[in-house]
Amino acid sequence: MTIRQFVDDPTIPDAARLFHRVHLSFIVPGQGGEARISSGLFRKKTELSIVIESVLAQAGRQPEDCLRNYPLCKLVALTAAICRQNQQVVVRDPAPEEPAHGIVFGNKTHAIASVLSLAAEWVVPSPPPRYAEIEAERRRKNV
Amino acid sequence: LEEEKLMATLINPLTESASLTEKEYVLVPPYSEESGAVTEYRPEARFTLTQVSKIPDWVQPTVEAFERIMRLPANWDSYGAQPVQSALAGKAVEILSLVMEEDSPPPSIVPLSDGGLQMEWHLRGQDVEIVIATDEPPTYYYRSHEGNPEEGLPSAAYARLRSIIQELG
Repeated sequence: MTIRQFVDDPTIPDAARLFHRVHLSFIVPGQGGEARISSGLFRKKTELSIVIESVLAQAGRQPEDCLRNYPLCKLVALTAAICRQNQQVVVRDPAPEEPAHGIVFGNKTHAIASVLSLAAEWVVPSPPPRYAEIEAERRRKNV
Repeated sequence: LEEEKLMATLINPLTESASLTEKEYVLVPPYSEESGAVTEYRPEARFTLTQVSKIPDWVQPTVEAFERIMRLPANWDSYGAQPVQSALAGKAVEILSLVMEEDSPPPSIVPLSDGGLQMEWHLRGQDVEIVIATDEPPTYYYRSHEGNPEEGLPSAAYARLRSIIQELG
């Protein structure tokens, strides 16, 4: 398998939010019944596919648009800053089906995956769900 | 009693056979038939567990969780994920059988996009994760109350993990 290399795109500001879909299977019970993102979501994903919020917004699209056709997923965001602070580079990678597409590139060790999972901010739903809600949805959808 | 602690392993869960619709579980070491459980090995069967004398509370939700992740099809995460490898699920169960006590809290079972899986607990301000990867030996990660990280091979720390996990309950 060929590993592509990327150079960080400085036109993406540190404050930029980068959206990533989260399958229900990646959501686990956290402290006090909160819904927590498993580090497994990011583990070893050298090329993490993301959608850049600002590009999405420029096209008049809402975050919920990222979940169209993905009823088993939720949406979280990482900032470009937290990615860069953890040895990742952030690049634009527009695709015909998703002009706002980008990539967070870099080796995601367990330590880095853990940091990213704790830093991930819930976008859809917001406010963050309780784990009991996720579990109920999982059972309802037979996931 | 040690032999009363039961664990099941998953054998070829994706087999769809009209003649094998019942759920079955297979015991793995250190448990034995003396526990009263059915231990018939049927490679073509799905889950197996019947008529055991006493099952720890964590077994049922754990088995259901394994069953859930083993049903996931290719591209289940919408980013091209692989189905979970049944051999790795078996390895995970083997590790559980060595680190769980009767009153241990159940793990969350999380599939990984490359076909691996991880088991995790986030309780009482502590985090424990055991990763069963496709490309390296199983590894565990522990973060204590104080935030001190620890990692290593479960095979070198079964007693340590058993103690940590039980304290989470």
